[in-house]
Amino acid sequence: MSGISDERALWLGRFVFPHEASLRVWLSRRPLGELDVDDVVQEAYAKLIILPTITAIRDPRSYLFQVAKSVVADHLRRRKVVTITTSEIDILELPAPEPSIDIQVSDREELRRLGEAIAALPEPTRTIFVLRRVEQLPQRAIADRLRMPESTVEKHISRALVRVSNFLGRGGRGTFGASRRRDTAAWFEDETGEGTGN
Amino acid sequence: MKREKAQEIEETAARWAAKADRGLSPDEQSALDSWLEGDSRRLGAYGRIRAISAQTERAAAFGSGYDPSSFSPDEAEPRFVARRRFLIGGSAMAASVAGIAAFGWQWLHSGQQTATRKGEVRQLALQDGSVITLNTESVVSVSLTERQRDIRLLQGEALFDVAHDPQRPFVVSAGPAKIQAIGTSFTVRLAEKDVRVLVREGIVSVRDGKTASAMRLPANMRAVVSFEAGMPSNSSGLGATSLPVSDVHRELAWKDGQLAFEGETLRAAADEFARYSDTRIIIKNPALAGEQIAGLYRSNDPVGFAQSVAQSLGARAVVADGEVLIQ
Repeated sequence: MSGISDERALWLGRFVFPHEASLRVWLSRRPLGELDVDDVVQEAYAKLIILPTITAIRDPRSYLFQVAKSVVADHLRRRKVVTITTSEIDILELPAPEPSIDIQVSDREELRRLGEAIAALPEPTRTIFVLRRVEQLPQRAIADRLRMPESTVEKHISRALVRVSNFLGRGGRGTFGASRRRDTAAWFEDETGEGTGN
Repeated sequence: MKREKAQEIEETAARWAAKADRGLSPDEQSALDSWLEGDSRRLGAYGRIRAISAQTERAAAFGSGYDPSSFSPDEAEPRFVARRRFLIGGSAMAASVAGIAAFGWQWLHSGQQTATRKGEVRQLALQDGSVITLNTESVVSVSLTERQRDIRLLQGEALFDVAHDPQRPFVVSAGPAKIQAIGTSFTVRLAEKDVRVLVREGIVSVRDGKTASAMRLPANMRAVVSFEAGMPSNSSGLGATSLPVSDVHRELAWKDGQLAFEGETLRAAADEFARYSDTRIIIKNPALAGEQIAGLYRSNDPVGFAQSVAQSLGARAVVADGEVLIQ
């Protein structure tokens, strides 16, 4: 197997990915040393993939933030010249964990966003992706139907995945902040701007 | 060597995910494996894009009539409900139900005493309609008369959801403290040196059995009554503090078989787990023990907790007989 089980991929998609947009907002306001937000996000996913078990994680959102925080903290600690400024210590502050039930976007809402993300794909990527995911045709059958090489279909699938991930994970239209509970927003006030897209 | 950009990694990861979507040949599989063995960000990027790919499978719910150029969000709902449900929801649900398997339910009659084992949480229904949720290793006795509802917390911690009955005050005795309510919801924890009362709804009156001084405690407030200091008239022994609503929810996570942390040290979290399980969490390194942690965890799974936390702190969890070592 290559590194990641289907089960873990499903878990990440369902319970972790929905919080990525707000993690990115949070990270973008903190000193990350030489890392950029994408580096931290990738390292955080890597840590979540090699976890032996996820059954104990009941609140994936705060766990994701905690893992991301540790990625940044490790990096800052390893730098040769250590100048811990007040602002760098900010990174050690944890975002308010919220009961996942309150911030979990409904199935219907997630599906709506997925529909928007697919609708926003350029052609012919969109047609190909719809045939693959909605009609559930194999890549080879799509190539036959559209009379194009299979490698072209594959290229469009890959492009669609990147675009959909940007749309949903980087706060394209409709990010995931809208259903935050107000009483916890105050605790972590600089996160309240999330969800407006950027 | 120039460090690979995260963006480049993401694009390569997406190409691999598109290949995985049609199925990998053995040669491709080993090429992917060796690519993944490089920079640790590659595994993260690949796992992330596979996760997104899995999420997009849900688009099958749109059905064959789906036309993206005229996609209207509102159309998605009925079709989605009618068609297949997403797999992970079911298995995650099953896991969370398994997580609260330690739960029980029983009727508790007047004059009866009941206790919970370590790791057990039990709900007790009283004849008056009140419900007592008994936390791990706790003992409670109940005596209902026409004039009063007397509850004694002899050990541990309990949440009291009191049925409204102005004719019969509901009085909980715990150590030196007496907590009286008419209809409300509050927890009492009998600790080694003090009794802690936390009010979730309504108002309770807290007083010490020895002195007669009392204090009214409204919702989202906590009072601590010290055994030693008795019941002083000022705040030195019976201190009341206000808590944000989110903290009150967090303090009550145990009733759902969970433990919630928000910036507590790993040491404090390990001590908290010790209340619920005989499997001890051992941390010898003081720096590690002082790390702050956050998250919601199953109270009856100290090993899973230790593994998750070790992972996030860049440490290791070693499971041995009756204990788990974080190092």
